[in-house]
Order: sequence, then structure tokens, then C-alpha cells
Amino acid sequence: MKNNPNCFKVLHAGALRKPIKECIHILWKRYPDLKVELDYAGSRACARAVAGGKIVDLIALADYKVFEDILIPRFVDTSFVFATDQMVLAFDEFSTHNEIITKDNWMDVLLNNSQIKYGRSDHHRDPCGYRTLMLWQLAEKFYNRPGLFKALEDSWSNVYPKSFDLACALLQGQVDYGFEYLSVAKQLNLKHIVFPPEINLSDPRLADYYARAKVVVDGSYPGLDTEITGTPIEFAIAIPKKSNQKELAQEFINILTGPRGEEILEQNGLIPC
Amino acid sequence: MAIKNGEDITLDKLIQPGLLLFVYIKPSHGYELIQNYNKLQSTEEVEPGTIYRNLRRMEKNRLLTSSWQISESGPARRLYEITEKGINVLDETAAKIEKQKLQVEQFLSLYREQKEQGGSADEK
Repeated sequence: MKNNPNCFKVLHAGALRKPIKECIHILWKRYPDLKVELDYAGSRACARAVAGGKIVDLIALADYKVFEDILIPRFVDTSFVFATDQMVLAFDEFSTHNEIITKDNWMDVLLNNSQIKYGRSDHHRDPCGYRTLMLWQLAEKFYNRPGLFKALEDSWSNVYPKSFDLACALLQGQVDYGFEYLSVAKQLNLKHIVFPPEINLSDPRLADYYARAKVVVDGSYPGLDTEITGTPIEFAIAIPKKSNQKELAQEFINILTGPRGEEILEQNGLIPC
Repeated sequence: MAIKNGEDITLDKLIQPGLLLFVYIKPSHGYELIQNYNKLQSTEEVEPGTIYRNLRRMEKNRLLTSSWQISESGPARRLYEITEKGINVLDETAAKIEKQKLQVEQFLSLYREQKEQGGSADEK
């Protein structure tokens, strides 16, 4: 199946795993014999794979800017923004000090307890990773806590390739807390702290404020770094130029952005837009 | 709060009338509407999710239509436009709000008058 050109191949951000699968089930009702190959990774890793020659019919990422940074115009003409989200701090009922952590004391709980492990995803591979670093930068300004970003950056315990891996690690008890998308926390029934809009990267009205946060990640070519500026979170989807099934890919996008897809996105904690 | 052609619209916090008005002024995408919304409603923060949901609700009720706007510099976004039904509802809503405004002014006028006269019989 891996090399079957008739197989419908979708490459997507890990955070979109569940909604993408549910939309595929709608496609299967129309085409019961359709072979589908789903592959997922951090969004920057997905984009690099396509830029490196991987042929897929559809690519859905957690940040439209990844398309612009790595894939447009050579591999993709345009991307379509279809959902928004926000950053939260996820944990579960077994996380150390889960009974006392709040939206006001989270940084002190994380930093002042040596037994607590908290993690993030890899900012070079996954937008959730660089958005976590942006959140920490914005938190330093918002709470007027000089040195907070460095303290948080110096004390994390684990880094995972993508946000979904971080959430799984949390469920397995490898970390107590993880900086996650609200959608991922909801999909896995994780407890979570909702941050103020000034730091959770959810609100277009605060776009200028978010732009104060900047993170350097590996660029499209070895040794070439890219600086990413904070923006409101927006997920996007596109049909690569080398897609073998452009009509089917468009049909999938129509499902995802239509009434049924919007219900699926809402049920999975995303906001269709 | 019923409106003849706009029984599907809610006047709560003026979210839907405000969005209808902005889209009537200029077809816009949700991101832009959220950025503009505070111009109309500066006293109460409305979450972006609430605005997106109201846009979809009004599209479902055929007050708005949407299509993808492909941009040369940036991603394609859903562009909302007002429909004939939406314009009718906007007109009816504005008339309704005008009526409410008169009622509010009459209430405040009577209230202030009473307070200036020393309040109720019990207070006196």
C-alpha cells in the first residue's frame, strides 16, 4: 500500500490525528474501497518531508506559516486556513501538585518543585514547540516576571517530536505537565489550565502583542536558521502540486470545511474558522 | 425580541447585529472581523470562538454566505458576504434597536427624574 499511487495519502500534524481520521470515515462512506494512508509528524517535519520529495495528496499543518516558510511556491500554491486553537497547560489527576496548580501560580508550581517534570514539543519540528517558547516569552512580560522565560527554558524535563507525543507521555506519567493545544487536551480528556488571551496565542486582536515573541528554528536548508514571530494559532490545509489525487483531495477539504467537518472540529476542541 | 424576517438572529450583546453590520460595510473574513469587533463593542470582550461560531450560525441561517478568498500574500481564508435576507434582517434589527434605545432613554429619564425629586415615597 505504501507505494500505491492510487492510495489517498494524507500527511498531517499530530494534533489533527482524530479529526482527520473522522473526515476520512466520511470519505469512505462515498468510496468504500478507497485505500488511505495517513502519516503524521510535527508540522515542520511534515513540510520538510514534502520539500524533500515525499509525495502526498493532502497536507494539513498546525501553522499556515510553515507552508509559507517551507512549501510555497515551489511545492504548494496556497493553503487554506480552517481552524484555530489556543495553548494550555495540560496535566492529569496523577500529576504532582495538580490539586494546587492554578492559572495564577502555574509558573511557581513548575519551577519551585524539583520533583515535577514538565515537557514541551520540539520547536524545530513542531509549531506547538515554538508556540510554547513564545508563550513563555509573553508570560515574562504579561506577569512582569523578569527571567521567567530563561527559568522555564532551563528547567524543562523532556522534549518530544510533536505535541501528540507529549500528550501521550503525559498520559503515561513520563511528565507531570505539558504545554499543549487545547484541542489535544480535550481529545485525550486531560485536565488543563486555560491561560489569559495575552499569552495563549488565540486572539487576532492581540496579533501585535504576540509579535513581540520570536523563536529561531532550523530553516529549510542545513545551517540556515529561520526566525518565527508570534501570531494567533491557525491551522491550514493544502493540496501539494505533486498530488496524484487532486479531485479527491479537494473533496476531502470540502468535507473538512463543510458543516459536518465543522462539527467534527468542534467535537475535537478546535474552532472552525 | 422577535424580528419578522430575522427570527434566527439574537440581539444578545449585539454580536450578530454587529457582525452583520461589519460584513454589510465590507465583505470580511473572521480574523478581520474579530480585530474590528472592539470598535463596536469596547466594554465587553467577546472570545474569538464566539465570533466564529456566530458567523457560521448566520451562514447556516442564510444571512451570510462564504467563499474562499485566495490572497497573493498569505493563506486563503473564508470570506463572508451579506445576503439579501441578511440585509433585510439588518434593517429590521436596526429598527428594533432604535425602539429599544427609546425605551431605555425613557426609562433612564423617569429614573433620573425620580432620583432628583428625592426617590420613592419610602425613601422620603
